[in-house]
Order: sequence, then C-alpha cells, then structure tokens
Amino acid sequence: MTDPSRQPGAFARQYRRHRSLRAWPLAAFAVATAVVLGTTLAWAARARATEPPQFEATEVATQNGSLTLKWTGSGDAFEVSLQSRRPTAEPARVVYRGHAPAAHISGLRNGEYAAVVRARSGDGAFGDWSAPATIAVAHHDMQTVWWLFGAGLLCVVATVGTLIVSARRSHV
Amino acid sequence: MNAPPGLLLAPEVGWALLGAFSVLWIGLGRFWGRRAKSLDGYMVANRNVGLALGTATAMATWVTSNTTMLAPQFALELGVWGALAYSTASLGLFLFAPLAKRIRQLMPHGYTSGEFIERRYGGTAWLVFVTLSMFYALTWLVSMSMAGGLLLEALAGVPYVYGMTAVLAVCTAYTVFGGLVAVIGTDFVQSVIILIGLTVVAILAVIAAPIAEVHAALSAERPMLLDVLFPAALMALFNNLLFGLGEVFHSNVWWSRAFAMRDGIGARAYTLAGVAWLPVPVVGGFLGLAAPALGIGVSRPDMVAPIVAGHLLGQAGAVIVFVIVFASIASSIDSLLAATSDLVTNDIIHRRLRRHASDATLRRMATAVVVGTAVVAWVACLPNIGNLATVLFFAGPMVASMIWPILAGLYWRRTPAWAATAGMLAGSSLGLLVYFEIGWYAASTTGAIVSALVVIGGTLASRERFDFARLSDGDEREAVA
Repeated sequence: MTDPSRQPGAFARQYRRHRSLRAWPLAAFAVATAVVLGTTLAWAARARATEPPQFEATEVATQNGSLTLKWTGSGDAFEVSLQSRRPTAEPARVVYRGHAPAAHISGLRNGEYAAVVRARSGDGAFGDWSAPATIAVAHHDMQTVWWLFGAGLLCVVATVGTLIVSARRSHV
Repeated sequence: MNAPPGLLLAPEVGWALLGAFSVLWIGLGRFWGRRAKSLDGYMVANRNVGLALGTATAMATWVTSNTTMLAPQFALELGVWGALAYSTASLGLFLFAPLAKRIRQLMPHGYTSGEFIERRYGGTAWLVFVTLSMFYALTWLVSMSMAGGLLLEALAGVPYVYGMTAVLAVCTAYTVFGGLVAVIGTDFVQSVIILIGLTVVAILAVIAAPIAEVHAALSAERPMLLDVLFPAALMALFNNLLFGLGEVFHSNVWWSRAFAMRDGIGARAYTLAGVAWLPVPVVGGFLGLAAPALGIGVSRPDMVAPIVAGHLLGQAGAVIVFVIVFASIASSIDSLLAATSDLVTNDIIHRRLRRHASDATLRRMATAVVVGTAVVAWVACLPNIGNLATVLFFAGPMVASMIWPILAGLYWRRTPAWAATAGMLAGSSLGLLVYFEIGWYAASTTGAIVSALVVIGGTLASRERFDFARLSDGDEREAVA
C-alpha cells in the first residue's frame, strides 16, 4: 500500500487546504473591516446630509423691513421659519420653501425676529433646524422721512409747474 | 418636456426660445436696417418717424427689464406704495412730451443731448454731463444685461454668463445692422408682444390669486407692505418719480427719438407712450404682492415676477414671461446701444477727434462704438454684483441732478453755465452721500433738490441772456456734407 501523502498531487491539495484554512481569519477580518468602515462612512454621510444648514450671517439689521438670508448646507430643498421675539413673541411661521439656499423676506415691522432653516434630504425627510439668525428691524425715523417726502414733493411740484408755465410762455 | 426641480422650464426649452427670438430680432433688424444706409438713417432714422412707430418705440424702450422685473421687486419690498412709486415713472414720458416739441424746434438738425448741453452751457458742463450720462447708460445697460442672464437662469437653469452673453450679443447684432431704424422697427413688434403678453398674465394672475386673498395674506404676514406710513416706501415715492424724470430728461435715448420723429409728432407720441406704459408696472407690482400671499418662496427679489408667473400659470406662464421680459430687455438694450453710440460718435469722435470725417467713416465708427459699448457692458456684467435695484439706483442721484440743468437750459435765458455745472456736481455728490448714509430710496430726491437749488439760485443771480438761436447754429455736419 502506498502512502497517500506520496500520491501524485497530494502535496498540492494539502497546501491548498492549509492555505484556505489560514485565509479564513484573514477573509473574516477583511469582511468585518469592510462592514465597520462602510457603516461608519454611511453614518457619516447621513450625518452630513442631515446636518442643519448654517446661516452666512447670524445677525442681520434692516431699515426697510426686507432682507435676504443666505445659508450653506446640503439638501434638495429648504424651509425657513420666522418668529417674532420683540416687541411681542409670536408663533413661528414658515416664510420660505424652495430649492435655492437663500430666502428673501419683506414687510417686517419694527422689532426683533429669529429665523431658522432646515434642509430636506433625498428621502423627503427634513433634518434638524439650524441655529437661529437674529434679525433686527428698525425703520427710518419719521422725521427724516417727512423731510425727504416734503422736499421731494416740493421739488416735483416745482419741476412740473416750471415746465408747464415755461412751455406755455416759450416762443422760438 | 418637464422642467428639473426648482426650474420653471427645461433648459432645452429656454435655449430654444432664446434661439427663436434671436433669429426673429436679427432678421427684423437686417430687414429694417436696409433703410439705414446714410449716417442720418443710422443715427436718427432719417428724422421721419411717425406717430405709431414713435409711440411704440417710446413705450417699448421705457418698458425695460427694470419695469418687468424691478416693479415687482418694488412691490415685494415696499408694498403698495412701492408699486405706486414705480408707476410714477410714467410722468417722465408725459413731461418729456413738451420737451420733445421744444427740442425739435430749437435744434431741428440736432443729434444728441450732449450737443445741446455743449451749445447751451459750453465745454465744462458738457464734460460733466457726458461723464454722468455715460455712467448712467452703462449702469442701465448692465442692469438689463444682468436681467437677461438672471431670467434665463431662474426660468430654465441656463448658466448666468451664457444667458447674459447671448442676450447682449443678439441685441448688439441687430443694432449694428440697422442702427436707430432697426431699433425703432423692432421696438414696434416688441411693444405689441409686451402689451398682449402682459394683458394675458394680468387676467390669469387675478383669477389665480384674487385681490382679497392677497390683501388678507399680506395683512397677516407682511403688514408693512400695506402700511400707509411705511417709511422707506414714502421716501421712495418721489425718489422714483425724480429718478424717472432725470432718466428721460437727460438721456440721449429719448433725445435721439425726439430728433428722429417728424415735426409735430414728438409731443403726442410721448404722451400716448406714457398712457400705454402706465399699466405695465401695475401688473408687475401685483405679481410681486401676490408672491407672499401664494406662499411662493423667493430667493432673489428681482426674480419675483418670473417665479410667480411660472408658479401661477405653469410652463405656459413661464414661456409668456420669458417672451415679455426678453422683448422688454431687447427693446431697451438696443435703444441704449444706439443712443450711446450716437453720443460717442457725434460728441466725441466727430466734434472733437475727426471733425472732417465723412458720413461713411462716421457710420463705420458708430457701428464700432455699438460693439465696443456692448463689450464694456459684458465685462461689467460678468461678476453679477448686487441686485438690479442696487445696480441701477446707484446712478439715481446723477440723473436726478440733470433735471434742472436741462429744464432751465431749454426754457430760461438767464441760467448760467456755472450754475448748470455746479448743480450737476453738487446734486450728484450729495445724492451719493445720501445713497450710502440712508439708502437708494432717498438718493435721487437729494440729487434733484440740491441741483434745483443751485440752478435756481444761479439763475436768479445771473444777468446773462442766452440767445436760443445759437442752439440751431453751426450744424457742422451739414456744412461738411
């Protein structure tokens, strides 16, 4: 009877079995690493996607009650909510829904407002609200306004009056 | 073809519309341009423009991208007062009616407003006037070219630079081919398109957003837009009126039309144009006010009209808005290119650099100036700085400071040159100071008032007696020809 280990090809088979046994832990390690890495990356990507946008300016002042808020952050749509803080605190209301990372707001009365923005990700769910931007609205004082209004009125009346009278009197 | 999210038209549709209208304008420009072989034909349309064309060109030129895009912004930011403030610009056309008659009487062979200033007040006043006027022309040109780029970007996602370049290039092409003849001809077609399109938009918009609903929503969410004592809006009321007056009174865009119209046509044409223009900012203003009421998110205030029309009326609305705004932009860019070219060719090249140049040479130079002006505007448009209001209204105090030097120069014999020059300089300087210290909505008023005080004071103190016959003297071009 011949020793099986001495049969042709036996060494090669043994070598392949040994090698596959040694490869198991390596393969398991590689799979585990890939799973952990993949999960981590996916989690990080999701965290990035749902990370609230950030306003470019967190303190905005306006003298005519209108302003444009701009922000950075990813998302396929955005929603901006505005709340009056002073002189009276009022419930927040949505003032912008759109795709562009900017919102124009107008018609605000004197006072202090807080605006927050959130992004909508690809699955349609909104992320968290951003840190607020504070908006201070202080319209021009009426004394300046009446001066300029009166002066403008006077200038227009003088111009129109002069033109009408001069046109009637003119003879070439 | 569905538009991508956030857009109202597919980019292919935007490009197709741009291409179709470009072919139309250039084709019409070439067709009408055949009549502009002589220098007079190129610069003042052979001085033979009748009432229909005269009214249409004045109206279409005054319906700029600013009317269709800035008037809604005025309403969105300054409320009902803002819409009213913008519509006061029609007074510019009404009040220019008697001036057009006077200009044609005093300077039957004139070409430019700069020529009038030089003959009436001399070289120093001319230098100040031309500097201010050219600056204004550039800001107007830049604001409209920007509007073209922004419109294509907002509606169809066409990159701003490509859209702006295409709009400017098309207008330059047909202005080069036909000068003022082509400009006035295309203006007629464009004014018809604008009026029909706006009527459709107005009817559909009021059906989709009833006035009572708009009022209720504004009262609840944007109360200042309905407030009678809205400070910035109150200041903007006369500011815009005076800005409009200054624009029309001084700009060669309007003077060249006064020279181009037949005798006795100018006053009637400008009056009718004012009547036809008045509803345009009212419709635009309603679109601006409807935006918050309809819950439409606005990211750029100067884009509110296209966005609202697109949301209200769907893709058809977006197409209508595109056609209206493109027509209004083209009708103003071409006029401005032609008028600026006239000013540079006549006042600088002919009267200062090449006094004995032939008409053919001047005609070629006028063409080159059109292209050069467009290139300068294109470079200034590239950075896309500021919104349309800030770009345009920066020139407000300068143009407002020219109202009284023009008015007094046309009618008063006693107004001295120094008062006109000082009025323009002081009005512009103090107006710009107010622009930065208070805001654009007070700058033109300041410029006009300061200039008026200087001109009136100088006139009262003067013993000069100007001979108006000197304005029609020395028509060198006729002598050369």
